[in-house]
Amino acid sequence: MDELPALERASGPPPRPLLESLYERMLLIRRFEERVLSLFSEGSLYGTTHACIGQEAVSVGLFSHLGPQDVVFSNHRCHGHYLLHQDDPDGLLAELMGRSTGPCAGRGGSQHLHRGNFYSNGVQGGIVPNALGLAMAGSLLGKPGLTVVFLGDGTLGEGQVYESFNLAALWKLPVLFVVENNFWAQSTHSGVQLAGRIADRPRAFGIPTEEIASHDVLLTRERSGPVVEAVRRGEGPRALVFHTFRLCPHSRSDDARPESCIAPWRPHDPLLLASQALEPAWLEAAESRVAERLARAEQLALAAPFAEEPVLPPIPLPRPSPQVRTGDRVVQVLNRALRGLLEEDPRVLLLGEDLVDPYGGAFKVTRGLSGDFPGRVLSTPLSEAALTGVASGLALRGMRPILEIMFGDFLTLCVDQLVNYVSKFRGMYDGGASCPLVLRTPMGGRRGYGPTHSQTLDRLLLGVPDLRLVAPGVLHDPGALLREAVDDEAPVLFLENKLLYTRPLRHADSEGYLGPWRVRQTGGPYPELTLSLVDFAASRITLATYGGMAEIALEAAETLLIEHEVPCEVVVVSWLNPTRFQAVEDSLSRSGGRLVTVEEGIGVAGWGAEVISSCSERGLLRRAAGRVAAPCAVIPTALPLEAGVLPDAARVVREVLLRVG
Amino acid sequence: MIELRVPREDVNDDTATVARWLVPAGAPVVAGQVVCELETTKTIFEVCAPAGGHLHPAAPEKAELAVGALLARITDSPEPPADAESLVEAPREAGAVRATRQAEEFARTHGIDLGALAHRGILTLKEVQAAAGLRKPHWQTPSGVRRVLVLGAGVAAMQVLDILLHDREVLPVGCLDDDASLHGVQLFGVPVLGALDRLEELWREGAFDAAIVGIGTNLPVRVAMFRRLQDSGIPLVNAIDPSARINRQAVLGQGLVLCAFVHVGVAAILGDNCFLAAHSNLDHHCSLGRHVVMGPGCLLSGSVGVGDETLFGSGVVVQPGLKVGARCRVASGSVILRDIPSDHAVKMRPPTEIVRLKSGG
Repeated sequence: MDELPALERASGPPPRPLLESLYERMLLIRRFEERVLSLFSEGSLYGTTHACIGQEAVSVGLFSHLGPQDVVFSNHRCHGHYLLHQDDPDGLLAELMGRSTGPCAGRGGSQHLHRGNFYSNGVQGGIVPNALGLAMAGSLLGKPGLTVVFLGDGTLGEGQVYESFNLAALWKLPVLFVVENNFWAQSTHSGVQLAGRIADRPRAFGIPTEEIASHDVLLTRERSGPVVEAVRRGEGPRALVFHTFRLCPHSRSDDARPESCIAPWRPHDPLLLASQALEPAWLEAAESRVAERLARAEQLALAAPFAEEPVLPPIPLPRPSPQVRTGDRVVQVLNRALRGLLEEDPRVLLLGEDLVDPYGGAFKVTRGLSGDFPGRVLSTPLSEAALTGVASGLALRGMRPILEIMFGDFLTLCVDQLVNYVSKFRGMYDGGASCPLVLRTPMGGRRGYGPTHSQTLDRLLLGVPDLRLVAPGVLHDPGALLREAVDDEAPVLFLENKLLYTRPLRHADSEGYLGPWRVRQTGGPYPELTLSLVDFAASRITLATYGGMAEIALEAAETLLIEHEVPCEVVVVSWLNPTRFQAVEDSLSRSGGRLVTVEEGIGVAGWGAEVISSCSERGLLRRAAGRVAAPCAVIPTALPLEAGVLPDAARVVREVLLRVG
Repeated sequence: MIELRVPREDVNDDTATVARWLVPAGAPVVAGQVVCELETTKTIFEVCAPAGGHLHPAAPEKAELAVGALLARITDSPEPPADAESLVEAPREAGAVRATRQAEEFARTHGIDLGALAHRGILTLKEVQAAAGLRKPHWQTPSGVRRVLVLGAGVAAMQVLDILLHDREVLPVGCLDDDASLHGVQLFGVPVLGALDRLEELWREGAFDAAIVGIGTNLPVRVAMFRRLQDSGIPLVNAIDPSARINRQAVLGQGLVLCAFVHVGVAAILGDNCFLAAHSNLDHHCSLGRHVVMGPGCLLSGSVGVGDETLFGSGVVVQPGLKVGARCRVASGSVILRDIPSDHAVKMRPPTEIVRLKSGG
């Protein structure tokens, strides 16, 4: 598309004070980014930077209708949006120069900004559902303002965008989707990326969409106003498609666009267009005002120190949990915990596929809740990626969403959100925002659900910074763990082995006994349990495990003692990432440094591998440690074949006998 | 008679709970009549009579039954079937004694009443043997032992301490020796606490958890100390240097001292209280009795047998399959080519002659 679209101009004589004010905002963005590009060349900036030179009329026109109560979620090309929404050139420049006085203290940099109601992230697509969540939280918490999310033409290749169009329209969320179509996604023209018309995309979901092709700031302002007001009035989502052009490279010196493409746009530089109606003397004064402001910002940034290591808040103490009884089913306990949370905490919201009664969730965990808490238990479309993004946006704005993903296998669809959004916000925004969502999902096999509904994928998300992995079992109180997860400021992946739902809880009595087992609980939140059939001092090997494998480890330990006279200690952790090793360490000091780990998932680079290498690094192992885990194989559907793949008690017994001989 | 069994309602539930009987026991039912409601974690569902007759429930309300378990029977009579009693599963006897297989076997063969020993956990062989006043199991080194007392403070004890200090499962806490000049002295930081007669007193005080004899070639004292430890019921540990190479199938007694680079070959057996100096090499299937002491570098070929309390000098070589009896004394450098009966000494005629060198001073 080398031809210019038909660009519109505002009609009538320009209102001078308004035009001056709009022009000066465009000028600040332009001069700021020009200075940033030269600082980049001088090596004074960290990371890359994406300028919006040439596109200023779009954002300045639009932002003239927005205030600080409105939420803005922007993308990698966010400097202009930030300056307009936050009016903070000092902070932005400090951020780009990596200084502690930047809004994210240099941890976020150019693409990852957060201050007040402004957010940005540098990955395409996922911010769209985040914005939905922020908008939804705003509605639920009765906050004023709408939410604006910025997309580029390149973003339209991402699936989460369409999941989000669907959700926004379905739930009538106060969101304005703004597509800044500059025709080039990095170096690739939209003609080779996008089929059909851009404006037809939101329209296909019933979202009223307006197109504006103009670099005249008065026109962009005039035309975007009614759209913003419609969203503000609660008429549901709207989309605005701006046809615009960037006169600078995508980031730095990576412009592969032919000059023949750029040249026709040069006469439509928005500053040039606006300046034609302004006095030269005023223009000169505006230039010097902006120059002065930027020089001061640069001085302040240069004088500011780099940030110290942030101190993350401690995990709050768990709130009291209703007493559970041995024999209660895991599914009942989880259901009761969810009910209690919904009763006590108006911030709690349940989302997921098929949650609403009479179905009540694939594993019936939410049965009976949707009727008693109308509007707070939502059955959703099959959009795991966007749902994780929505929950993340809800959490960013003070809600405590609990998202159910029907099968843990589908977590792969959520990984983009979990890795690049959910778990990143707290760190990259320098603790200025947190994302306390809980994602519950069933993992595990032995139900004959076959290759894509039986996996234990925990290990794929081990070692993601600030993403906690918590796994309940029948020995822990799953309800108490869930309450701790909801109170946690960090996002929590709550991994429920699907075999557990119908299992009765097994809890120690007041004397610390569970049947013949002596039980010790240590640590917390997310405590560890250590169990032994004999005096703790007499154990000869430590079995470390979690979740659904705990009962298999206990079964193996019983066989080992009764049949082979080998006393084992079983350490059951509930917190997998980062695993706390104290209980395993204590146990190894009693069991002579002999360790076997027991997990259901694939062993390669798994939890057991992590536990063993950590113990090895600490010099806790006195014998070669063993690992019971699934081989690197596809789980068959037929139960007899599946049993050949998934680890069982017999394998634990065999592995232990190899280590104690 | 028709049996009504618990059907599988979904893939998740392996059990169902009897929510409600809709028909009293013995009452007449017709085919297709709903007789019972079962509850799983997912749902409540109804069970119909497959045929007419009199219904006899086999489980009370609230009972949890496995899929496929008997739920009820339909007979021609309102009277319950004769074997109705046996259908109710006896709950596991409260306080039933649980013990390991070996512990049960031991109790049975020794006429010990496990009931008297029962506690809430599982009784182990060790507990049953200890409670019966019998010795600790012969081939087992007590696990969980940490603080170790060494008997003796001479050169052999120093070798034992050197090994124990390498072993993170134990902590040597002191030595005892009758040589008063050593009292208060520290060996590698381990104090000599006094004479050997303090042993029982320290044990009663709980000053240590286990002990080992650190006396080498003085065999009568070595044997006497070992017996004294056993008589006092003091657990023994082994001191095995980390450089020792011990075959997995080898069987080790207790109170052993295996110094640096000792090799214990395939399926070799070592009785209690042996002391093997550095580089001792026991090849496959060798068998040492109790209290055997070897000087450095002895080389026993495959399948050699040695009786109790035999003392080897250094560098003794024994040909394969030979037997060396009990209480023998074998001189350094001997090469054993035939069996040695018990209570014999092997003397060594000097094979070398020493002459002064002409250039010597």
